[in-house]
Amino acid sequence: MQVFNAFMKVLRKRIGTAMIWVVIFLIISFTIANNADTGKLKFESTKMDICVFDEDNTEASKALTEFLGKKHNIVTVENDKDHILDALYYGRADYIMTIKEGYEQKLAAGDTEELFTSYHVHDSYEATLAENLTNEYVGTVNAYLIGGEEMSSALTKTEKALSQEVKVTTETFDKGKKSDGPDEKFFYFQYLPYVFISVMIVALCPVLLKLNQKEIKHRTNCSCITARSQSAQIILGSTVFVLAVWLIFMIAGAVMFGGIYTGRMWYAVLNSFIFIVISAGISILISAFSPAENVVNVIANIIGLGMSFLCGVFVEQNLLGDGVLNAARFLPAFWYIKANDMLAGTTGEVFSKSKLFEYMGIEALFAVAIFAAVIIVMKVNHDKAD
Amino acid sequence: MFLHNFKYEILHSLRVKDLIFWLILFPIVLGAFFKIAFSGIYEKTEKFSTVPIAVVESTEDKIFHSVMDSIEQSDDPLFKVTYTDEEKAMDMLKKQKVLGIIRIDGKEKSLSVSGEGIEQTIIKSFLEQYAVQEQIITDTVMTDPQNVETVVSALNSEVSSTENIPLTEGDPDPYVSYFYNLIAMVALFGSVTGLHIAMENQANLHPLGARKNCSPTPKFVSLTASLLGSFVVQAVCVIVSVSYIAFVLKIDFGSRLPLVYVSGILGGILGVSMGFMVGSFGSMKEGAKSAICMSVSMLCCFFSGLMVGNMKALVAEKAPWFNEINPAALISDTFYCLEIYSGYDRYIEKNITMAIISVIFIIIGFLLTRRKKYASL
Repeated sequence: MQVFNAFMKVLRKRIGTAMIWVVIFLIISFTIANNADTGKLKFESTKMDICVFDEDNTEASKALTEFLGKKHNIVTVENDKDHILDALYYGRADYIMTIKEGYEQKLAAGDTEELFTSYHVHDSYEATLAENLTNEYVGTVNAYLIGGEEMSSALTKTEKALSQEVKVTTETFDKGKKSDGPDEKFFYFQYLPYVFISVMIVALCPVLLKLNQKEIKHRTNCSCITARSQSAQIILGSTVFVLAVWLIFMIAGAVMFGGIYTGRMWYAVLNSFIFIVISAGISILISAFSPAENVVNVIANIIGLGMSFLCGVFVEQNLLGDGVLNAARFLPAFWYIKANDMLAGTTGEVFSKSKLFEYMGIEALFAVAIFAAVIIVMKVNHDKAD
Repeated sequence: MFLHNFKYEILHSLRVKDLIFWLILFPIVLGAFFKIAFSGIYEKTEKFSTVPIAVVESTEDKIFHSVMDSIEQSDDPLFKVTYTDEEKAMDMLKKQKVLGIIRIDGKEKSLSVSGEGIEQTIIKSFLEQYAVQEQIITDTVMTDPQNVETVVSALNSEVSSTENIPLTEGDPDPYVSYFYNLIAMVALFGSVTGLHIAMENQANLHPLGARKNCSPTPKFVSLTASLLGSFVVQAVCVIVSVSYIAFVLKIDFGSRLPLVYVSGILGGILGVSMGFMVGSFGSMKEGAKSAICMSVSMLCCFFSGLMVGNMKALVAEKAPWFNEINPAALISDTFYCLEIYSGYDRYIEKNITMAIISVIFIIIGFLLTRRKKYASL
């Protein structure tokens, strides 16, 4: 077990550096999981953030602002072009409108044209929805006024009419699922492919590169240890490290959720385990090509970020184009996300155990293929050194 | 002596071929991935498209039917309607062929959805709007029956109460910010080259440092020459990245591309300075210092939105001061300012902040490495 012992010795020396990465990626996972943009996925909370500048300041304009506030969230933005741009661009406000001066007067006179101005950076559902709402409001007040109502009673009746709610039921086709909508707990798992690939490459590669150093390699090669045994011992050493890192992330996850995993979460745990094995395989494969130590991080970013963006880790899979998804099928993270999406109920794909195991099986095949490649490359390297 | 050191710093950087290769390859490969992944997303999410729905009628509602028909026949239809029975409608909803089922039972209308999002909200609002109009007509019939016709015609007339004011002529695609952050990351990766300068000037950390320390060249001169050499190399990396993203991937940086290069290069200088400062701290091994540089760069890019696009907005909400000092956010903000704002105030402000932070990093680096004497090595 000399190679294994040497692995551990090198690992002990570099554990500090490896831990820097583990901690950094824990911070990233926690930040993402706690702040994932889940609002879009929840029906009840599709409340927009609307900012209203009231230049008219009359009974009618106040009633409109109040009405918008009941249906949506009113946010405040400073009334200058730069602040408005920032708020819209960064999504702090979905819709920003100004009630022009003379609103009440025009409304009383039956004029419903251009009562407001709205700012937008690009066309969006939110803007259309907000515009529809204001048009509807104005149309309703106008209809009541034409119907012979006084302004104040028209405003009251409009508010009452517009407050009617339609009965909405959310159909769950998945009987095992407890809640409507996607389960937020799975968001922690969604981002793990990026984290695992990156952390494995940046933390494990330097250790393996040290073992691949000419002097150490030549010394090992001239011993009676076979190439296969060397590979096996390196893989064993890596396994110990991988298990440790995986446990750290799983325990951290459990702490974040405030208790041990339950129900379908265990499938996600299993899924993440398969993926960290794949990540370790990728890391060992990279180190077999002996890149310089200072470029390992750049490689980690290319593979980690690249695979994540193509496979739907950061951007939902159902938003990606078909061409991208077809290409992504040849990458393991695609299947990880497919399994996780099914568990979380993000895409509406109904949970089925056989499908889940099919996805995880494909992932496992990727792991086997990568490790087969590792053994071949190591064998070639060993023979070359001879 | 300055020029000699400057020349050799550049030669030295160019000889670390694999680092330069990867630093240039990094934005090329990732940029291509971004371009592939994002092509089409904008169309799919931000632009308005028709929502498919199913209608199940337990009792016939002719008025509702004709309203739906007129919606479907408009130029830019809100809905694509399929009239069907309960079973088929549920099947379509399950397979996500429709996003909602409207059930009509007498006067009652209800909605079933399987997911929760903006499209479903549109269906719900439509139904509510329909109910409102019904209510208005009923109210008018109660109070002033002669007026019903005028009210109906008022309801049918199109209201366009809002005048839209476009705020910018730049490219509004929000996914552009990922490319901004990619350039920011390339710039901050300059910290690895900056790290080398500091390490290779300390006799206890590097053999080159030992050689340099016993030469008569003042440290200030050799360090400045090395720093300038690294700035040049890093500037080349940034120029290649920006050119590739602007001309090959055809990402629109607006009409002021030369200024994008200026800010990119300034970002590169900031990256090198950061590495120089980190390298000057303590006597840690290069591996550990490199890990610190890289991890800090990556965290900065993460909080600037390289991985999750809305992260910068989130930071702006919870800790706005951090966006003002986060190097990655500053770099990507300069590009954003050029794209969105017509004026230069914000752009200049961001660039000055970058310059100040760079100078602070360099001064700290100089202070930490100056006047070091080595009794033995």
